[in-house]
Amino acid sequence: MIEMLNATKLTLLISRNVVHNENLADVLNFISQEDIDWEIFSSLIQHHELLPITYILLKDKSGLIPPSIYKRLETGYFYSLANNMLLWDQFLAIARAFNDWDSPLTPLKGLSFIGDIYPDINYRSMVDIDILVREESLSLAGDILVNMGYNKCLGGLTEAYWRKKQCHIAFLKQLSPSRSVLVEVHWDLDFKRQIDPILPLLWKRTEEKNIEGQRIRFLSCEDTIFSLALHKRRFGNILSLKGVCDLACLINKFKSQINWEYILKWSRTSRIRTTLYFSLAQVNLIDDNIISKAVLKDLGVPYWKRQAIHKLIFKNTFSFADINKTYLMAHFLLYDSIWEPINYIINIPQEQFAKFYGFTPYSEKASLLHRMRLLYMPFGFNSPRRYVGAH
Amino acid sequence: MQGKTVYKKNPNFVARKIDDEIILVPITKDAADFEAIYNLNNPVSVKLWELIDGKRNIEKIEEKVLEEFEVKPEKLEKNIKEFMGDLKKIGAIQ
Repeated sequence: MIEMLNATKLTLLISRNVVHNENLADVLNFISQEDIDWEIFSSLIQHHELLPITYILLKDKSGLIPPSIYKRLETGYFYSLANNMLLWDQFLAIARAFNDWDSPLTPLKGLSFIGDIYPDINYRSMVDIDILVREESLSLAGDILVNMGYNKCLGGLTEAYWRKKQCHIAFLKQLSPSRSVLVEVHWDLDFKRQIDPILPLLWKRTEEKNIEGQRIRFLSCEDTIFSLALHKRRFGNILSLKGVCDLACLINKFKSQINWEYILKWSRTSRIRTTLYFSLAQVNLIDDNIISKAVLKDLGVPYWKRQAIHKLIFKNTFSFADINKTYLMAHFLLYDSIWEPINYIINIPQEQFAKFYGFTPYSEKASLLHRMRLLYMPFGFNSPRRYVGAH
Repeated sequence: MQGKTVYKKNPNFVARKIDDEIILVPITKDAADFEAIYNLNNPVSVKLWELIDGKRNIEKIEEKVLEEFEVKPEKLEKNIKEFMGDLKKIGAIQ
C-alpha cells in the first residue's frame, strides 16, 4: 500500500472536482484541515498540467494558500488562458479556411473539448492545435495552412519520412518574434501499422456542429476515447492527470450514450485493447465508479499485463523518480503484442526521441543523436528528462 | 470632438469574454509577459468593449450604455474618455 502525501491527495481531489464539479467543499475542507507541502503540490499540478483548473477553483480562497503559491497559480492561469485564446483564434481561422475549400477537419484533444466537456477555454491548458484531416486531403490542408502564413516543419527530415513514420505533419506560424503557433495536421490517430486503417468508420461517425460561426466536424465520443488512448503511444506525458481528466470527464458526461460494443469490437479488430485498458485504468485512479468493471474485463487484457498496468499507474503517477524508466516501461504496456513497442523504439520518430531525452525537437543535436540512436539509447537512458509539454 | 470619434478593435488583439470579464491578449507581445494580458472586469467596461465595432461613434456608444446602466451622463462621458484613452494606450483600439 502506497502512503500518499497530503499534496498528492489534494491533487487527486482537484482532479475529481474537474470530473464531478461538486466536490469543492471537500477540497476546501482538506486544505483547511491538513498540513500541505505547497511546493510539492505546486510541482504536482504543474507536472499534471492542472494549474488552470486549480486556480479557477481556488481563486476566491487566496487566504487558504501561501501568497507565493497563489501568485504562481495566478500567473500560470493567465499565461495558459492567453495562450489558449491565441490557439482558439487561430483554430477558428483555420476552420474558416477549410470550410471555404469544403475540406472537413476535426479537432483532436483539447480543442475538441471546449464548450463541451469543459465550459470554456480557460479550464485546460493547451500546447498546440491538433487537427485531423482525411489522408487524401493532406496536400490541400498543407496548401491552406501555407496560404495562411504557416510553414511546414519537417525538422530536417524529408516529407516522405513523416508520411511513412508519423501520423502528423507540423506547421508553424510566427505571430511575432516571441509568439508562434504550432499546428499538427494528423491524417490518422496512430502510426502506420499492419492494420490499416485502424478505425475505418471514424469519419462516417463524425458529427458536424456550429462553433462560433464555423461548421466543424467532431469525432464521436467513442472515437474520441480511442484518440485519447492512442495519443499515449507517442511518448507524451503518459501519466499526466490532464489527459486522465479529459477521458474521465468525457466518459462521465456521455456514460448513458457510449456505445461500448463499438469500442470493444474495434479495440479487438484494431489491436488497441491494451492501450485502451491502460487509459481506462487511469480513470479509476480518479474515480473507480466511472468505468464499469465489465468493460475492463471484456477488453480481455491478460492478467499479468493488467497487474503490471495497475502497479505502474499507482506507483508512478505521483512520483518524479526514474521518469525515463517509467516511460519506457509504460510503453511496453500500451500494445497488444510485444513486437510493436520494440519496433517502435528501434524506429522511434525523431520528434519523440527528442522529447524522451529532453532535447529541443528538430535541433541539430536531436537530429544527429537520432541518427545514432541505437548507439546512444543505452548511454542516454539515464539522462534527465525535461517535460516539453509542461509549463 | 470625442463624441464623433469612431474606434475599431485592433485585429492584433484577441479578446474573449470569460465569466463576466473581457480578457484581452495582444498577439504581438511576449507570450510569457504576464503584464501584457488585460482584463476588463466591470460591467460598464465589458459593455463598452462589446459596443466598439468600427461603426458606432462615442455618442452612440454612450447612448447605448445609458439605456442599460443607471449612471450620470457626465460621469459616463468622463469614464468613456478615460477608458478609450487606456485602450488606445495599450493598442487595443485604433
